[in-house]
Amino acid sequence: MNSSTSASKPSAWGRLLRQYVVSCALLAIVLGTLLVALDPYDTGRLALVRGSSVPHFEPRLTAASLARDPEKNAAIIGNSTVQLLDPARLSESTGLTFVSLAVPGTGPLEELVIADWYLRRHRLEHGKAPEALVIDLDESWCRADGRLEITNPFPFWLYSESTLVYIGNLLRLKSFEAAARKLKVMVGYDPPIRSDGYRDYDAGRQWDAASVEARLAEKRVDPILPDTIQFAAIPRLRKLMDAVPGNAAVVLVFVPRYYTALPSPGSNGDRLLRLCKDAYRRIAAERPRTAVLDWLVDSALVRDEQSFWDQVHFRQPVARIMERGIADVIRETRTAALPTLPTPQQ
Amino acid sequence: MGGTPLMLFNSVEFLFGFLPIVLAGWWLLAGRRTVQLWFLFVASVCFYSYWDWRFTPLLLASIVLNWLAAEGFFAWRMRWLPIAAIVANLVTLGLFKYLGFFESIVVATTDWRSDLARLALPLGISFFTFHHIIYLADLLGKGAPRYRFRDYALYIALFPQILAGPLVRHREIIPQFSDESARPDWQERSSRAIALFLIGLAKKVVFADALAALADPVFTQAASGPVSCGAAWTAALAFPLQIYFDFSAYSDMAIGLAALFGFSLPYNFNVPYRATSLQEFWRRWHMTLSRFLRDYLYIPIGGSRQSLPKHLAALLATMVLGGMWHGAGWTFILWGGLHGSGLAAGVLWRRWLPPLPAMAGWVLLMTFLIVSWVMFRAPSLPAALHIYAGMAGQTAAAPLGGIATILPAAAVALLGPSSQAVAGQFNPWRWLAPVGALATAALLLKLADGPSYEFIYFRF
Repeated sequence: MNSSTSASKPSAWGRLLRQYVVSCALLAIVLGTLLVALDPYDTGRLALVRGSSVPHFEPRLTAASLARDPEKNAAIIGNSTVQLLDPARLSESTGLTFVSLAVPGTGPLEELVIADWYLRRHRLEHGKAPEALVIDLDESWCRADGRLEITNPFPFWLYSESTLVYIGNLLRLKSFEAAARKLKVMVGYDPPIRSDGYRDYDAGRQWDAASVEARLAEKRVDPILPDTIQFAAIPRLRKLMDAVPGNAAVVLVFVPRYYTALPSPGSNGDRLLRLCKDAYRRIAAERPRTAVLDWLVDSALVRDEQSFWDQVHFRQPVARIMERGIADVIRETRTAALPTLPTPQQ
Repeated sequence: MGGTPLMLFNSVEFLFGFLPIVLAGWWLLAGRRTVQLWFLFVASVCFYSYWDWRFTPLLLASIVLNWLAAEGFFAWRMRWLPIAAIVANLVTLGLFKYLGFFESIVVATTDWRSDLARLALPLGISFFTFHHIIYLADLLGKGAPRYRFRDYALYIALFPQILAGPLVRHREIIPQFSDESARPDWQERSSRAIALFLIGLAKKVVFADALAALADPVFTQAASGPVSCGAAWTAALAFPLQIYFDFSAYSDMAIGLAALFGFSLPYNFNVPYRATSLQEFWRRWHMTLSRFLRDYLYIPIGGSRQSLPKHLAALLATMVLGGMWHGAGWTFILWGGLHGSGLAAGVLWRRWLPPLPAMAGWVLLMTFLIVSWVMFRAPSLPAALHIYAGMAGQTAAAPLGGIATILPAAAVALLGPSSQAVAGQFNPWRWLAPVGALATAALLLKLADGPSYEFIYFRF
C-alpha cells in the first residue's frame, strides 16, 4: 500500500480507524434491532410490529406469513403446477378455510419445509390442528436416483425453528425491502395480496395458439433408469405425514400434464411413473384419511390444448375440475372411517 | 467445485469467522514475530484446507520438497537440484491440470481407449506452482537468497495470495516478514487496506455478479445450440467487463487483506481497458502474470533480442503457453494464440507502419478483446462458434439485454481511477468513518442477499 500522505498524522488515522469500527458496530446494532423489531417477513419471532396483511412479494418469502393465519385450517402445498387451485372455491365446497402455500420453482425439499412450518405454527402458536393438506406431486417428486436438489435459491433459514439461524440470516438487503412493503400495506399505501395466498397466473394473459403450440410440441427425452430406483422424497413425506394430526385429511395429487409430456407406453419413463405412483399409493395406504388423486393419465382433459399454457401449467377449466375432485375426496375422507382411493373425476 | 464450501473472501464464514479470529490472533501476538509468522502460516493452511483438506498434504509436501531442493543447492551447489524441482513442479501441475486434456486428444485421434481416472484440480495449484518456479529459477539465474523454512513456507501459503495471486516474487514479500507489524504507520496502512478491500467487494457484488448473470446463461446455452444475435452480443459485451471486475476485485481484496497484516503485495490491474494497444493492455492487465511470463518464459527463450521471425515465434509461444496456463482446452490455446498473433502483428506494425491514432488503436483493441474473450469464456470450441455465429447475425434477431448493467460497468471500467489510486490517495477526513461504515453495511447486506458467484480465477 502506498503511504503517500502523512505518517506525520498518526492520530488522525487512528481516529478514523476507531470511528469506522465504532460506526460499523453501531450500524450493525441499529439495523439488526430495527429488522428484528419490524419482523419483515411476519414470522412472529421477537416482533414489535405485527403485520395485519401480506404484501405483494416473492411467494417463497410471503408463504411464511400466510401459513401462520390461525383461521386457515387447510393448506395447498406445491409449486406453480397447483397455483391455479383456488382456496376460496375449495373452502366453499369443503367447509374448511384453505390457504394456498404454492411457491413457484420449488420441489419436494422446499415444499415439505413449508408444510412442516405450517403444521408447527398452527400447533405452537395457535394450538389448533389443521384439518386438511393438499400436496402437489409434480414430476420432481418422482426423481428416482435417491437425490433431491433445489433448482432456485430458497430461504430455508426463514422457516427454521432456530431463532439464531433466523437472526443470523435476517440481515440482508431483501429484508429491508420486505419491511418497507410490510409498512406500506400497514399504512394503506399498497394493497395486500389475497389472504388465502391465491395468485392467478391466468388473469390478464392472452392465450396465443402459435406460442403455446410450440411449447406443447416440445419433445421429451426418455430417461435412463438408475440401477437402484429410489424416490428420495418418500421418507421425507412419510416423516411429514407422521406429524399431521390423525383427524386431518391428506390428499396427494398427481397433477395433469399435457399429453405430449406423458411417457409413451412401455418406455423407461412410463415404467418409472408407474413405480412412482405405486410408491405414493403405498405410503397413502399406511395412513387413514389419506388419498391419492391421479390426473397424470392420458385423457380428454390433457388433450385439450386450450386448457394449457405449456406442458405442465394448466388453465382455469382444469383447475375447476381438480378443485371439485379434491373437495369430493376431502369430504369423503373426513367422514369415512377408513381411507379410500377414489377414481378422479374428469 | 460444485457443492464444496469455498472460503471465499466474500463469504460470511471468511468475513465474520476466519478473518476476525486471525486478525485478533495476529495482533495479540504482536512483539513475538516468530510465533506471529508461524501463526499466520497455520491459519493460511487452515484457510486452504477449508476448501478440501485432501489437498493439504500436496501443498505441504510441495513446500517441504522445494525448500529442500533449494537447501541442497546451497549446500552442494548442484544445479540439477533446482532444475529437477522445476521439472517436478511442472509435471505435478501437468498431471492435475492437463492429463485429461492430452488423454482426450489421444482418444480422439487413435483407437486407444483409456480408463485413466480424472484428477480433481487442487485449488490454487497454478499459482503456488509458479511461486515455487520463481524462486527456483532465480536460484539458477540471478541468484536468490537462502530463506529459512518458516519464511519460504509462508511465502507459498500466505492466505491472501495462495488461491489466485497476485503472483508475488519472493524478494517482494519475504523481506517484509522481518518487519514488525505494529510499525508507526499501521493505522494509515490499515485504513487504506480496508478501503481497498471494500472497493474490491463493491466491484464484486455491484458489477461482477450482475454481469455474470447476463453472460453465464448465454454461454451455457451456447454449449448446446445456437444463440440469438442479441444474446450473443449481450454475453460478448458483458463477459470482458465481468472478468475485469471479478478478477480485479479479487486482487484488490487480496492486496487489502495482506496490507491488514502489514504486507505489501504488487498491484495486478491498472485500468486495462483504457489501453490503446494490445502491448499496453498486457502491461495493465493481470500485471503480475504478464511480468512472470516475460521474465521466466519470454526472455529465457530469446525475447526481442533475436531475429524477427524468432522474436515473433517467442511471442506466440509465450502467449499460447500463457493461454494453456489458464486451463486445459483448445479454447484457451486458441485464446493464447490470438493474443500471441495480436502482439506479433503489433511488432510488425510498429516496425513498418506509422503509429495509429490513440482512438483508432483503442477501438481496434476493444474489438479484438471482445472477440477473443468469447474464446476464453466459451465452455467448448463449438460453443464459441455458436456465439460468433450469433454475433455475426446468422441467428434470430433479438434485442440486446442488460444495457442498464453493461453501460455503467463500462463507464467505471474506462473512466474510473484504479482501485489503488483511490485507496492510496485519500486523507483521514472525518466524514469517511460514517460513510465507510454505511458502504460496508450496504455491501454486506447486498452480499447476504444472493448467492454470490465464484471468482473466475479460482478455476485456473
